[in-house]
Amino acid sequence: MAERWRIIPKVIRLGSATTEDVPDERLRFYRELVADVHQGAVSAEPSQTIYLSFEQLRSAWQLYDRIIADVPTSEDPVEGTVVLVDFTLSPHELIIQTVAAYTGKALGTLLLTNPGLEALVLMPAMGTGLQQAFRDIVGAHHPGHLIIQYGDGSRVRVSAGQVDDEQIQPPDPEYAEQLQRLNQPIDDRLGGKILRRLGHYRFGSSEKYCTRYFFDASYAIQEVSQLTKDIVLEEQNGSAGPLMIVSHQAHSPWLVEVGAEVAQRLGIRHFPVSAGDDLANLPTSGDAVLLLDVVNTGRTTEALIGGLCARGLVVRPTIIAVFIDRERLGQARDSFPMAVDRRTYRVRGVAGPIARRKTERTRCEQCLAGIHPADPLADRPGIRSYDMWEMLLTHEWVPEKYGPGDPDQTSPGPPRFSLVPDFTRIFEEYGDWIAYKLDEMLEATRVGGAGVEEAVYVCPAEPAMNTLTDQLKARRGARPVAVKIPRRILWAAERDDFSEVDRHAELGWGRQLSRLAEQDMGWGRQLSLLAERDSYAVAIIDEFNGSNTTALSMLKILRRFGITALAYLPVINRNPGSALRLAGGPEVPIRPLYEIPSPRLSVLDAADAAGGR
Amino acid sequence: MQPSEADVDNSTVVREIPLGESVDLQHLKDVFRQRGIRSDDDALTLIDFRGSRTFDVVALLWVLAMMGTRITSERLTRFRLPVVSAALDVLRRDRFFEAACQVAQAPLPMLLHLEDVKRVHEHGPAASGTWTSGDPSDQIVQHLRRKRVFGLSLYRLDNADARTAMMREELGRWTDPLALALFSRHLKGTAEWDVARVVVHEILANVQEHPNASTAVVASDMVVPRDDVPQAALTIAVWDDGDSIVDTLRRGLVSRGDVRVAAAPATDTFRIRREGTDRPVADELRTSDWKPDVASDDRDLLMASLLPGISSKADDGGARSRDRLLGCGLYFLYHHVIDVFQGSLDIYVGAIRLTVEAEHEPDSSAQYVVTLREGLGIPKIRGNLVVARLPTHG
Repeated sequence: MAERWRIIPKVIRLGSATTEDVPDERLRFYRELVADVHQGAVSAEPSQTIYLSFEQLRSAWQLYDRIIADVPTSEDPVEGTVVLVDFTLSPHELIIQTVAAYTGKALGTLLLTNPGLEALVLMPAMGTGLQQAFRDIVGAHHPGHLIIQYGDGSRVRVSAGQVDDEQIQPPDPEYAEQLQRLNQPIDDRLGGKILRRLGHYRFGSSEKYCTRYFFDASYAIQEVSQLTKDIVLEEQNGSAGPLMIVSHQAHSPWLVEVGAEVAQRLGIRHFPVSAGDDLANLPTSGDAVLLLDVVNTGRTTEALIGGLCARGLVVRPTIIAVFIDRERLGQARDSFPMAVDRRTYRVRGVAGPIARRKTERTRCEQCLAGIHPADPLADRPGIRSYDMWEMLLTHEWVPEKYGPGDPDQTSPGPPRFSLVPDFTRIFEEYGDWIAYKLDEMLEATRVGGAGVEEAVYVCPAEPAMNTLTDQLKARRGARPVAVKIPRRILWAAERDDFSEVDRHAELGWGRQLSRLAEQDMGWGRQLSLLAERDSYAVAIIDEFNGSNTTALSMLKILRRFGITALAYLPVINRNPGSALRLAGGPEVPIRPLYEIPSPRLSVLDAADAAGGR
Repeated sequence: MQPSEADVDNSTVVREIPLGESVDLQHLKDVFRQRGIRSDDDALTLIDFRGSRTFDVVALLWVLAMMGTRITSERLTRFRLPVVSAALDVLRRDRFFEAACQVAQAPLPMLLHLEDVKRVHEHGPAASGTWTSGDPSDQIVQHLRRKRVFGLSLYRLDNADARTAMMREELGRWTDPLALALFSRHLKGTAEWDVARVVVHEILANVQEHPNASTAVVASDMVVPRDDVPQAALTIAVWDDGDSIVDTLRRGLVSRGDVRVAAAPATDTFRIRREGTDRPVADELRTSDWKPDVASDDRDLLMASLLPGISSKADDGGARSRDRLLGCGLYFLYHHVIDVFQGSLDIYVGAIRLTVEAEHEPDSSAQYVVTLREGLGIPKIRGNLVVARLPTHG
């Protein structure tokens, strides 16, 4: 047995359109896991994720090559090698039988050529056929084996010579929890998917008030269900009789599905009631957990509790609300007490507290201007003027630090704008909604083919865009979404200098892995990989477009890699009506979230205009 | 295109096929057999849903497939609508008429009896969004029907993008959290994700292998077990209008002489039963390393399509030749449907029906039984219809 182990990680990300570095935190997790399986000191090689996009699933054999690649043949008696294949970042439904079979074949092949090798597979799906493929390759008379660790922490040893897997560790809830934390804690996942829509909305059924925000968890049903189920389980344990869920959805039709799913999973009943429904369909006895979409003042909740009690039901002391208004919550973090008919209840929030910016309609500028509060679920692509200007004017404007031209502005070149909106702060505050709006616009631009969840955005590597792309990533459950191109590369492209771009383009897949990792050439490698495929959606994005200069630079770089952009989505377009096209190339549609036409340029503005982007 | 009105406006050649209250596949085939209907029948065929109240989606899919066969030779099929408006609403909800128009490439009035043309646009009571009382699982099934997770879905297959979009949309439907909760409770095994991961994925991957397919229709429904429903199941079926599996394999055999492109990864044993032949044939045992030759009949070719490593695709020396799991799609499919879900798989091609299910004969050395039926007076259908049936339990 070896004294030390070296892990070669093979992190498989199915349904992803690009690769990314495997973070240190993940490598640390692998080291601890391998140290638990094989005794001794453990190190892990730096690595990048292996991806197969949705279309590539049909040629899953590519995975075989990628698992086999770069595994050294080691005869070292002191340091053993562990190939660790991690599928836990892939959606279950994409771990198709051919993917599993090629993984089994690849590991079998590696073991045959390298008998000292150990193989460990982190596999969320059961019954994949990985084992059979492995046994077929290795053959019954070979001592080779691999270990599969399932999502629940149970571990099996798969030996070539045995028909059945041998369980070597029972399910381990602690492992399951650690894994979930590593992949993305549920609160983060929920936070990234909750959408705060900026607009002009009704406040409940109130005629007196309107709000600026509507909080929408319809993209996070799975996360809300999971957290709700945990709370209902606690209540079930404290309840003597059979429990039921009564869900009340004032403005969130999707809450019915949360109630139904949780009830189905726990084998209990669920009764949805809507605003204005009488409660005549409900049973007249039993324990009820009340589930609400939003609690503002709490009056509706009190009335509901009263109604359920009058009907004969025992309302459990914990009331679950997806959202609780910050005002009602006061100083508390996520719950507050409520007394109805001398009984005390506690309203517990599932998502964080919300502040909806409620205004009396008689004082609301929009209402006074004759704009009626809108239905939040009837939204249109793009951003309304009122909303855009509010975002633009919230923070002091700042001198333009990033833009086309010489990065240091030392040599003569186009000057920058003297003042621009502070996009970093705008994206920090409104990025979730703007990210949603970009996805929505891309979806409206595309017809058929790769869905927006697999689209890749290309943008300049700058603080504001970093903030925005983090939000885009959170929306898609932490899958990578953006290729960020350094400004010096964009500036060189402006001058048709592609020397650095070409160096990156030459370093294709698999050839210079270590060099690439050393030199932080992430964007070049990402583009090389994108270039290998022909049916993905690549769109370029930027905070604003002044003169198409930066967009043209990005197009030039993409063309250098042989990639065609589907659209250009600037948050603001100051150059409406212009056509974006490289010589001899197709026109790339510009689909901004908002347009501000530049007025006829005066002499004084000429300097600014020459800047532009 | 549909032939013009003048060609068929002759009541003497109209053949009416009254379908009873319950439109299911067995009933449908019995009616067709009794009436001696063939897909190449020149008479205008009027499928009469007037007395119908409930519809099995596979039966509806089969009607579409038969209609597709007739339309290729300019033979007309028309419908009488259900008298009960709730039944008409079900057909609307399941998007039966949209699918029929696309299959026939004709506007809806062309497909209806004159008296019904007005009725089809009558709006029935708005689909109720509230949850009815009753069994919780039934409520979820109803909700998923309204949400169109269950029902008919129509796809164009014109290009790679459209095929990918179909796969993406279907996998999205079959991983709906509510559907998963239902599967975890009512399907065998602990494999709620496997409906999407294996069954839906492989059944649609198969469609994509059929040359000249322009349209696919996915039909699905779920019945949770009740005392009055003996054979409750989740049914997932796909019909495409492409070249049939049999024709495609035969072309491969004729041009290359062999359709085995890879060794079978494992050996399954099948007991082959033949029904509907002129004289009774004894059951035969066959293993999955069997391969057909040019003399094999259509039924044997259809049977061969199940076997791992059998494909009409040539080893072209390119990227595909790297795929050592070529021709394993239906193999993965029947394994999962039978071994994991304890269900059965049916493939309809032309007038042949193949059923593969688990072997229950104690003395048999086979793991699976393949039943091949042909020549029972059932009209031919165009393209390929694959039906996976996963039994549900309480």
